[in-house]
Amino acid sequence: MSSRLRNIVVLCLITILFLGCSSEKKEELNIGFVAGLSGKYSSLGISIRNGFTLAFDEIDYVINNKKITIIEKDDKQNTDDAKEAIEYFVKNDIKLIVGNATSAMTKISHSLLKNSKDTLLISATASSSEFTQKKDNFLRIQVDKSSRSNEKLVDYIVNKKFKDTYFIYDSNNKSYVQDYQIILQDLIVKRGGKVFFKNIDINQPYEVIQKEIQAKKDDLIIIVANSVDSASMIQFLRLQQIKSQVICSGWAKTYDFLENGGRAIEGVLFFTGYDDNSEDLSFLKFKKYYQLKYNKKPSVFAAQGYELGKLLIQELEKNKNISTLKQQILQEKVFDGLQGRIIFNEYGDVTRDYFFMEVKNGKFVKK
Amino acid sequence: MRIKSLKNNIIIYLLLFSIVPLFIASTFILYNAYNSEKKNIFYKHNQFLTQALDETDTLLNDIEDIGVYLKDRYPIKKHGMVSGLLRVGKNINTVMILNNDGILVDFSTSTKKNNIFIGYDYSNTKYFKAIKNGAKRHWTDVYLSLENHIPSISYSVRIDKDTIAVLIVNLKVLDNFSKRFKSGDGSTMIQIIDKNGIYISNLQKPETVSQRQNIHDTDLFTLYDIGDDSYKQIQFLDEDKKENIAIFGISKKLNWLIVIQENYNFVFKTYYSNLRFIILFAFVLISLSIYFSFKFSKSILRPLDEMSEKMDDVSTGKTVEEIKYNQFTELRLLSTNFLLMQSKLKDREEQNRLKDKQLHESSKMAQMGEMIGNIAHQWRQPLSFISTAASGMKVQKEYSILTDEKFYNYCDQIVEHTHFLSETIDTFRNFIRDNKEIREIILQNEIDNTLKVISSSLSNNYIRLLNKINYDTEIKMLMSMGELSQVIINIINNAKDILLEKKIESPYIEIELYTIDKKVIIAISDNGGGIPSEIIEKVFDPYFTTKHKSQGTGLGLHMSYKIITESLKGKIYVQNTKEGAKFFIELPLEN
Repeated sequence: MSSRLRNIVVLCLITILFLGCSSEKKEELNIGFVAGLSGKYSSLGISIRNGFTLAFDEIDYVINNKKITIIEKDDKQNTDDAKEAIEYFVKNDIKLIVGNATSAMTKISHSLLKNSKDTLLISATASSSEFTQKKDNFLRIQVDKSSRSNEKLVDYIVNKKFKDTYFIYDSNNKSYVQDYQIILQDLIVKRGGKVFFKNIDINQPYEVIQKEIQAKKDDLIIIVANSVDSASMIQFLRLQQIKSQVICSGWAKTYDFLENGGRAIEGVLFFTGYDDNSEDLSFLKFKKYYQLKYNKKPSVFAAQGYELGKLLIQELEKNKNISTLKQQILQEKVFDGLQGRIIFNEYGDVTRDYFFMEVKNGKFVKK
Repeated sequence: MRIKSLKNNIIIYLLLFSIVPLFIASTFILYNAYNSEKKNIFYKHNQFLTQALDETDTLLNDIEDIGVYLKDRYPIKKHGMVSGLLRVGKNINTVMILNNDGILVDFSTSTKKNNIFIGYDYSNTKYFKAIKNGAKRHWTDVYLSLENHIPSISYSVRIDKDTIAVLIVNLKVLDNFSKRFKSGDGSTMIQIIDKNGIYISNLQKPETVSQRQNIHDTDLFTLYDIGDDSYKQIQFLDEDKKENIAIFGISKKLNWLIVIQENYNFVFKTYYSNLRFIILFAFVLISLSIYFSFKFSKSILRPLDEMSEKMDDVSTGKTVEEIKYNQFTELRLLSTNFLLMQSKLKDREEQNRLKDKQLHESSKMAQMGEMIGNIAHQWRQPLSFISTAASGMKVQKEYSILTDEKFYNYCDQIVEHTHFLSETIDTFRNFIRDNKEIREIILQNEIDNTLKVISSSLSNNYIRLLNKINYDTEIKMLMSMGELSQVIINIINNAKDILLEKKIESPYIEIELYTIDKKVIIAISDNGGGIPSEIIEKVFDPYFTTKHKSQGTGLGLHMSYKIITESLKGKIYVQNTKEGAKFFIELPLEN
């Protein structure tokens, strides 16, 4: 073989080799995201998703040269869809799952993944005490509805000496509702308060609810439901000339609530760990980016989604192994959030100061 | 210049000239076909896009027309009219009439679940606030409707100073509209996205609408964000990482992004099937051209190969009778000329051989003459003495003065001289007889014998022979002394001729013998003035001589060179000294 022929052959081989190498795929990390993204529960899920994806948007979906893909699934606040989503993630070997938005759905995912020790389920908003003080593969940045976090709320209710308490709840999110129904009620009773006068499922026709509620001005109405249902219910109650003090769960604290509630929601109280009007620099910065991308104000859930995204990015930069990610987070223990620090205990439960916010002139205002 | 293989060059050029044009032509055809396909798709998409943009604006105008209708009629007809509108305006999901405080005063909805009531407060809604703040009409972005819990848009318009109408648009209307734009694979070709990047119609992925997904997180967004690329053909990956080919435009009314897209693989299915065929066809053609290139090159190269082999044969001394495979005129001429050249070479070789033989004979005869001259020199004195002794005896006998003592004395001397003559004959006979015989010799003795042969020739010409042979250690060698003697005599004779020719005063020839680095050096020098520099390089060439033709053959030093280098495996060279020329003979001691 002449040197020229040899050179041509070598050149071809190098080209093939080069093409072979260049077509090599970039390493990828798939993150599952599951929440209620459609229907009346979507206000919460979409807020978390928007905040969460914004954090990854900022890093162009790349961590340590690894392409990050977020695979979204809609649990529709429905058991079957939630199961289907988790089964999909398991089948596709997705080891890091962010979700769910509500405690009821998180409970389903949590139970399906309890044997998948190498998979980490991490939620931005699930607050049920069912997940408290457990050494498992679950983590959240939301404060649990424990006795301690409810103290101020109980103080308020007991001190105000409401006559009767009407408890309106969404039966589709039982895990979350139960914390109010059992823990909160127990605490109130222990402090000399009364057992809830009536427990009413918000999913019933309004005509039925109308018959159930005979509240007076000195009664208390606690609503544990999503923002759209809560706003609509309060409008309905005010139309029925029910002037009782209303306390809504943090679940409803979105801009959809303000928009749909009109003046009927004026004076409604929320017991929450997030201040929509926070002047914290990192929160203001987040708000600015969020508005730039989505052309609307972020809810506190969007902020929680963003916080979770930032925390995961920070930790994934240090650790490739998902199975040890929780351990690593718990070891580091303290993280900077958008409104103060997020502090994990040894089980991965978070502590945060809770305070009241009131709707005033169509806005959430710290009380 | 780099040496190349003719064979490889022919093959490379044949392959290049057969494959490259074929490759270029195939690529050109494929490239043009691809561009033409893309253009066709573009024209189709462009037509669809124009239609979609028109129809979207028409749809929105129709809804605005309902607003105008309400403005005209509602103050008169009131509620009955609102419920009637839903039956006619299929695009509208809910009609709400708000008072100036944002309180619902009248409504009609097609939503089954009734969770809105007269008296509801909508004062915080964007659609109310916009009108309250002075806008005559307002279109909202996508929002989650309280009425039906699905993503909706609404159009609000002031009817009179106390009343505002809100028309909530069923986004399904856009889906019905989108259904008409179908690709050949059954997929819907249209996506509609609002100005904030939220999907409002995407039948291929309805969840993008129900989940209010934002194109910020898709590949399409990068293209949308550029903006200037509207009405240009683009390619992007969808959520399922499938490639799409599309164009997009912005609707005038609400700045909606309308994308007309099709699956890339589907629309180019025919092209790629043709591509496969063309590639296969090109592959067959290229294979055929490679095959014929090799065949053709072989048909050219086979006679060349044969000719090359024949030339190799000739170079090793074989004779070529004929060359086959000469179907090409040029090659036939070449082979004929080659055979002719071979025949001419053979003739010339024969002539040279004869010439060499003649020259060799001449050289031998000259050598013999030289030898006889030497014998004559050796014999002259003893013969003269024998003749004088015989004449002296005869005269003394005639005068009876020859005594017995004198007689015996003369006879003894004659016998002594005849012995000398006999010895001389033996010396010369041995010298000639041992010419090529290989045996162990003592080099000093043998050189002495050689010098004896030539010494009288030198002394007769008054040339001194300076013997500087080192006799300290005997140099034993296994060799044919006759050949070496021939060389020594040749060099000495040449020196003698020069000395005589130039009539040098006190002429001498010096011979040295010594060993150095496992080599024996025999150096023969004279004081003849040396060899001119312009010819010193040529003295060992055949037929080179400075003597008159009658005296020299030009073969002496050439023969000497051949004997030393080829037969005795040594070296011979000449240098000029101050006095004259000095020849060096280097022999390896192993000999």
